[in-house]
Amino acid sequence: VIKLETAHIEEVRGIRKLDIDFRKETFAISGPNGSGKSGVIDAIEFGLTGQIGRLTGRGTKGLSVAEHGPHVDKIKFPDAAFVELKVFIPALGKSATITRKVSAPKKPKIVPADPDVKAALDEIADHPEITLSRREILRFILVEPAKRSEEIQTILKVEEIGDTRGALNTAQNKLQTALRTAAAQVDSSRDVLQRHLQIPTFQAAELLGAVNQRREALGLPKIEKLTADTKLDAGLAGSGKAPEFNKQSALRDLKALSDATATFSDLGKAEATLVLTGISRLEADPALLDALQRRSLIEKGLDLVDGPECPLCDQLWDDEQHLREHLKAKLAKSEEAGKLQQALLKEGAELGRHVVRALGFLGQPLKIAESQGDGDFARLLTDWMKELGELKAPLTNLDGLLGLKDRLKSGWLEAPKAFQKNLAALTRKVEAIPDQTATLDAQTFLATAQLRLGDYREAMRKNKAAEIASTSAKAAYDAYCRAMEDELNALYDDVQEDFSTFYRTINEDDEVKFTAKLTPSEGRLDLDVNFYERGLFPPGAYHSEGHQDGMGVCLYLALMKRLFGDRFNIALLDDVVMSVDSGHRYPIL
Amino acid sequence: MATLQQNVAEKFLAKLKDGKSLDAEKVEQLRKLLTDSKKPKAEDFIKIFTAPAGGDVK
Repeated sequence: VIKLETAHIEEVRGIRKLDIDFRKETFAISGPNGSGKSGVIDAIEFGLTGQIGRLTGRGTKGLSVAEHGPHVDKIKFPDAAFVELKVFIPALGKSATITRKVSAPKKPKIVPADPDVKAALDEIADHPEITLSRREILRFILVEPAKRSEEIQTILKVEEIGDTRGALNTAQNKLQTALRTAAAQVDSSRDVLQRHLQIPTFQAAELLGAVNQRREALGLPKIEKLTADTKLDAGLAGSGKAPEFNKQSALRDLKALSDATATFSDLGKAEATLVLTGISRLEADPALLDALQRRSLIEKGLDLVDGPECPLCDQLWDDEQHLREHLKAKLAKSEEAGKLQQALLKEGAELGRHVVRALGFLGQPLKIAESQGDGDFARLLTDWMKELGELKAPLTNLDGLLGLKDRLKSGWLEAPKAFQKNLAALTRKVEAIPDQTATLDAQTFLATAQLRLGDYREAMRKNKAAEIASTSAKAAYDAYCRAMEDELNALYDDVQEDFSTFYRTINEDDEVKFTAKLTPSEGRLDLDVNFYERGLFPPGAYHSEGHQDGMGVCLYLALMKRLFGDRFNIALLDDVVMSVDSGHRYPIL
Repeated sequence: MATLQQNVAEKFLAKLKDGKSLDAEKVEQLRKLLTDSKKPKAEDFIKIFTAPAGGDVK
């Protein structure tokens, strides 16, 4: 990747002014505590990446490169703090100088500014893991398995894969919800058609029986088979036009609406109660509500992250990765809130299906009211349908559900005032219409049947499309999870092998038979090492501190090999071999 | 050297191709999305999954 030639450091961390000639070779710094050894590492890391690992991540709240990067006597003068590094890029055979000021960490001056030089230095800037401190070793050696998995996946930049998996999961959930809505629409349009046909079961034979009875009365040929192209009113004068009013069918639609509205008070009652219980829980626990609202906000923010600037508060982070980690850590803290959110959204989706069902009863009566010149009732129904339609969106998100609290308390589907009175009046008006002749009844019956069959077919078509989309999304999500698991397992196998080999190399005097086992499982990564052929144990069980530090370096090197391959030739190690004795330290270097 | 993300994407697309759950056109659209965007969004995937099979010419 690169080799360091020289460094010039001014007013960075504990260093006032320092020049070092590395000569592209392995370089070690020793000295008493507080003499600035780690400051040199910080300064070089800053020069290469614009970051200082010690000032970011866990346990560093309140610390930043901008405020704590300059020497303590130059806090007010970040412009005075800078690092100039001369590096050699073996792949290009070129040397370059990179100068970076604490006041402008993202705008280094690179000479020569050749595109290939810039690309090589950009690659390094994208890999802050070239710096390894002893504290970081503990992050993947002595840490619990779940955390180890997280830490190692962060080093390997697996979070991008996790983000893609998350996006696929969100897509699959949204398309599943869309499929449920489409299915509810099919149920509704089938009910409307079946009610008109007056058939006990929704079978083609029964449908054709009801239709052919009318066709026979009109002297039209029977329809022998129901296909996707079948027109129930084929041969009828004016076939395909808007059907005339069919009195008996209209009365059945009005009665169906009357019967249905009597049950509306109970429709979705259980789901509404569960939503209200969840809301009460949130109101009783402001911290939970806060976590939930923040969660919703953070999820949106995480989705919008595209660079080191936080999309929620405009704060500039050292890099995008740290910003993402920060937001994800906040999400992890609100796990309980997340579960409650899922439960609330599930009930919201069920309520949404009830809305679709309710709307299915209102469509036909609206047409009847319009055809009978009942403008007041038509307006009432139009407004109610619009209002119910507007419920669909808030039922799909948390803020929307919270906003529906009062509505859900009682009669959330309740009909508007004057509904019953208007419905009864329209019913009486239709009843008062003289019965249609047998011929007109048969004609309007067929025309209405054809129109409703068309609506049903359209609902079926949309449901089929929703089913294909949902199935595709699930197949894609499952395939991505399997691919990710396969790749990670293969990666862990390689890392395990390299780790063991490296460790045997530095301990060839007494651990030539050393082996290690990395065992990935759901969100965990267990690490066990062989203790002098006594069996596999966690690294902290029997191995000494020095051996554990050696393991940390070896695991780090194995991970870097996966990241950079044979190009890995720079690492800034801060105290990582502090407790490794000299005999085992030299093979590392 | 191919990155981990690239390896996962290749395996993912190969599995989809073998599995026949998605038509070749959708698999190709997914390949383009994963190549062009480092951070594809859920809406990007939804657009692909809901596109009519065989293109959107009606």
